[in-house]
Amino acid sequence: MEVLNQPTPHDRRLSQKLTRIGFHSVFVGAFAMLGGALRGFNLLLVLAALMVGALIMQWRWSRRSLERITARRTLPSEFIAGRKTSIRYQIHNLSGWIPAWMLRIEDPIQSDNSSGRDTISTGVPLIEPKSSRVSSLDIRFSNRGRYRLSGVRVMTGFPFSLSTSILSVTQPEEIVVYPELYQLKRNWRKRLTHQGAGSSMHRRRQGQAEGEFYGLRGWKNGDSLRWIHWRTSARIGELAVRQFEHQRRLDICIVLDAWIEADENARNDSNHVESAVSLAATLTNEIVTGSNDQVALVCIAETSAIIPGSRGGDHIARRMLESLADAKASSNPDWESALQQCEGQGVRAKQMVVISSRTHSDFKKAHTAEAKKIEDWSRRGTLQWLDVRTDLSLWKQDPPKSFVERSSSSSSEVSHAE
Amino acid sequence: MPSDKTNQSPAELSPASLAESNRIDLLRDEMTASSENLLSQARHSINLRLKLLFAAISGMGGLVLASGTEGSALSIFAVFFAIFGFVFVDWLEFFALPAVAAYAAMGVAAMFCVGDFLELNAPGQHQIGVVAQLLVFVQSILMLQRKSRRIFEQLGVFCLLELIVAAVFNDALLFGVLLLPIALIGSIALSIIAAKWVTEGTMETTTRGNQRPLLPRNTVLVDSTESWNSVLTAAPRLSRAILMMLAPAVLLISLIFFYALPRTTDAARVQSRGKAMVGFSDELRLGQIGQMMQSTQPALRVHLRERETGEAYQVIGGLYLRGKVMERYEEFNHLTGTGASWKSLPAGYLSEPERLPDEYVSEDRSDIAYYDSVDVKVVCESMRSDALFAIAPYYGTEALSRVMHFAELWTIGREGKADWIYPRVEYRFGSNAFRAGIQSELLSVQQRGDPFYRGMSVAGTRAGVNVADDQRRSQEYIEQLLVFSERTMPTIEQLASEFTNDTDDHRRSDYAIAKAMERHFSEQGKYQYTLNLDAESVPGLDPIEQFIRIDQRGHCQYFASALAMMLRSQGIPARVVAGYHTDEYNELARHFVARQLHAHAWVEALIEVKPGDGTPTAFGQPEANRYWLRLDPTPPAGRVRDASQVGQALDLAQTVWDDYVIEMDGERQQSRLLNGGSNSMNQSYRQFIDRLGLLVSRIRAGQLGGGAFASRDWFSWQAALIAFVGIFLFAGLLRIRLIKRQRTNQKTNALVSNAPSLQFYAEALKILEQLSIQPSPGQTPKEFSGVAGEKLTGPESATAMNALHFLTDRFYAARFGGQRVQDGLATIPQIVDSSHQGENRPSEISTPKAASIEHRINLALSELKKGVAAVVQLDKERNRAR
Repeated sequence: MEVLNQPTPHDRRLSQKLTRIGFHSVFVGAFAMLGGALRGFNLLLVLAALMVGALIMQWRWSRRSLERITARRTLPSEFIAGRKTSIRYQIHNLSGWIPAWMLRIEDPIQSDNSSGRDTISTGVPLIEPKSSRVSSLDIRFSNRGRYRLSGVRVMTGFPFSLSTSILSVTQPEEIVVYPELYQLKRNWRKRLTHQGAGSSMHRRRQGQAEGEFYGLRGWKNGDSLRWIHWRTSARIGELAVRQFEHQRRLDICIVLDAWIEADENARNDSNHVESAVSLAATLTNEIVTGSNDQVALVCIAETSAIIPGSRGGDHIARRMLESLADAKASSNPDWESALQQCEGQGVRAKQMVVISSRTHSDFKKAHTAEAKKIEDWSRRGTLQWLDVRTDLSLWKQDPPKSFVERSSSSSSEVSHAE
Repeated sequence: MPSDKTNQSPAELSPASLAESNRIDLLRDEMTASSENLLSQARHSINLRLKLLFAAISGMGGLVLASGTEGSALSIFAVFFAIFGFVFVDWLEFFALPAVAAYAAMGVAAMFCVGDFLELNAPGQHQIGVVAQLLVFVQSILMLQRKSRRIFEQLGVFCLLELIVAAVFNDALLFGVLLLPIALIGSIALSIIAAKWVTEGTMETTTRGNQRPLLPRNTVLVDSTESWNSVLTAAPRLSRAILMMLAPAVLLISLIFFYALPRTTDAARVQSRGKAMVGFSDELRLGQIGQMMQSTQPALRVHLRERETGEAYQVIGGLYLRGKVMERYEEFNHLTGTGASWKSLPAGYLSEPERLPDEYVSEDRSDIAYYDSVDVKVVCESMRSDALFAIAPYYGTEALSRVMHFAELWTIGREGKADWIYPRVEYRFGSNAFRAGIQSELLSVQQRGDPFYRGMSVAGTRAGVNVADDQRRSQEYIEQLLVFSERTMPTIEQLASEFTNDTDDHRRSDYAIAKAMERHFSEQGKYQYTLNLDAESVPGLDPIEQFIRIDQRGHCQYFASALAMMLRSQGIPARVVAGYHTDEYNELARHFVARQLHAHAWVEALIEVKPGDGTPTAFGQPEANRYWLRLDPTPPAGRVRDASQVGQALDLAQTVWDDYVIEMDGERQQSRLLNGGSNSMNQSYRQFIDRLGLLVSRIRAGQLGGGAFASRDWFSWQAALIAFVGIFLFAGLLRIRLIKRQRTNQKTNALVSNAPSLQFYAEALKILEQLSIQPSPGQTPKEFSGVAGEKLTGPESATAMNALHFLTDRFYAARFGGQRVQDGLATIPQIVDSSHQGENRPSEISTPKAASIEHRINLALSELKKGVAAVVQLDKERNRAR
């Protein structure tokens, strides 16, 4: 996630509007007042007086209770599609003696992907004078993308719902929702190195001798069972594996081919592209957080983005996920300029993995020149073409169903953590 | 929360869309599995409360319409549907009227009422009654519908409209009694609506608008269950805030508004035929008063104030308030026998009505010691006859009195005639009729030419009427008072003659004869007073003759008629007076109350007075040769009827309601609210009111516009002062209360700060708070989980305990195991990346393992929530069973 502008929650505006029942009350009250005053019916005036009393109190109380309120939104560090995250709102009542009752906190949210505008909301029952409350809401985005939050609105209809006071605090922020991160199957690392027709890599992995023992580290997906150091694992209650000095280092360039059918009728939706983006994001994230591996990302979509090879670090990971979040599918991904940029930026890797929503042969038909370049490149290293329509199930593991199902298998993990 | 935004049916979806849709369903289920149950419980509870409040408002709205005598069936209808709707639709949820059926029913009700409305010739306030009917019908239909915010609002507005209608055609005290609870319940209901509104909205939004297909369609799932639940849980407490702070403030503003609002028109009273009392007309059938006496309804309120001191004047032996004087006795035959009635003489016999006479001032100053000057104010309720009631002799004290005086009768009446009813009226006069609390029984007869008349300025001088005419008419009038038929009333004549033949030497004085006849009825015990007239009428026999000869039981009308006839048979002119005789004194309000049951009839005999004939002297009125002598033959048991069962407090409340609400007008504002202000202020206020009055009268006359709106003098010092003091006191009270609360909060905050810093564990503790358990100081999380285990019982307990153990372990691992944790996320130790250290904001970019831990923590929390909710539910059921 990236915050484009530093929040400036000081730009505030207080407004008030009548509710539907407020309009009715004003109308009925005015009728009673006129009838009572012109015809001398005192009971109508009694009713009008009560309506006036209620409206004045509504106006003053709801306005006064928001006059000394400050509101500030706090966003978490990142949003990942499909994952629950909390947005917090800190509301402070600076007033010395008026409590603020029944506050609704609204936050209009607009997707870059549409012109529509939605609102997320939460509430606070009461903020005593000179005190503050934090209200949070859990949010989950189904897919990647960019969202804009313009400002927080604190509203109240208390006491009589006749009008709504609205405090608008400007606090523009932008949310980048990263693509969904899959849980990869255990052998993903093996699959990455095996399937790439990389005979040299394959050769290295033969035999027991995998290099000199270097140390212990936590188990990660793709680690061989043979590397588990059982004694340490038993001691710490968590799987630990031996690390070898000459452990195979991944040096990969992941290329996303965000291709979508040109014919809109033939195109069901962008689901396969999404799978490709998510798989690319997952692999990139897995590799970039590994301490020895190196990864470069080439997003070829409506516009291309290239992040040269790098080793580890949140910063790089964020950049990569962000460019994946922004990738717009295209019926004609701009391979030509992407490859030129790659050459220009000196992107090099031992292995290239292209993740696409079409077959390699389709690609070759569509981009003859670029296909040739790739061929040339694959002669130097290894090339793996992943068509998500057929290959996704080989990589992606189904998510756990429930806590109870998982609790027995994870008990060892839990106990060692103490 | 299920989404209704997916418009496509599953069959229309492509396989890919279906997969996406399934994925979102999964996400949604995971998001809301635990929270939905908790929130729906709170929502249900608050909805039921709201439904109860609105049912109460609907029922009371209907009751307000019927607080008069009209429309009681309507109120029963409204109350029935309020209760029925609440029990069967809202509470038990047996059924609910679909919207289409409700609209159809409303249409039928509207057509029915419109048909009724168009009967333009219907009497009284038929049209407004029809409007009330329509309101109640529609409200009842609303009560049968499933309640949404819109329905609640509509019920509120209909109740408001019912109040408006009731305000126009019903000003009974019950309106005021019901208005306050309706206002309070209404405001509490509206505050709960304000709370409910906070939690409105779906948990899911899908990006809309000009979707660009190149990026995926995004669904945002939002879960604010925790905060919404806290809002809904706090909602019932709003009633306290409303009652303690806001309702008094609203009341204060309303009072200031109501009393400071400049009045430019006279206060209008409701003119409802159903409400108007029977009253006395020019004809009074025998037995009519007996019917009137069945009712305890107050007809008059009589304030007596000593003129010099302004203190309430005490009366001994009750007040006689004369209403109608009847001179002509007529008998008639009807199916069951012979009836009779007393009638007033037609207009030709009487002089024209005129202004109340001026006060009599005796030439002999010492006379003043023998009578008391009393100021009388009478409030007469709405009646169907024009009679007003007075204590004779009276004199005018108001410059612009709206009552007229009938000189020969010593009665007063209203100006002008009305078609159906005569409205409530308040009038004043002075009277010299009392001496030491006893009302004088003599009334001097004055004629034009008498010294008192000559001394009067304008009142008695009617143009074109000379003294001779007056005397002739007077003679004719007296002749009417002597009409007696010996043929039809032989027993009466015989009985009466016994009183005159007592002494042979000389005829006794008229006074002595009349008093002896009066005593005959009241002292000898021969006659019995009863309202229960079950004696059969003898055909052909005069009812008075029958009363004296056969029955010897009856009520005041029979006694009075018999005495009048006895007097007439002996040549003493006599007439029957109908009015009220009351000794019911309201100590709280310091006034006499005359109810319908105090209706009474008595006799006035015209007696000649000669010096030394034993007739007492009447002071406070001009001396004369002839006097009207009041005679009340009714036995003491029937003269004054007890009405002590009717509370004085209620009567006082009615008086206050009438004086300070219903009758509030410009004059009262000045006399009651602005007394004590300086004269110049009053003057300017009065000028302002006058100007405003002019404006309103123009508007009423249809002359809008002009420079009338140029008035800028909208300020009243008195009102501002009252408002300032009131608001100051209110703010002071509020401040004290808030300071106390703040101190309590500070103490609470000190405790709260011990809460754990890890969010997921804090959440777990918050969930467990529902079981009323909190970790005590010094208690370790493991010990605490043991304590919680004892509380967690029921079907979900094993899973919930598993979840709690898991969360406790995670807490230990994160808090004491040195693991990287943020927002409840724990990862295995060696993944700590050096690059994370420099980041201000912690990262959650996580390995699948970390993601799975986060997932499991969330699942554990939801399992714990489920378990706790099950225990809470179990407890509730147990309590209910007890």
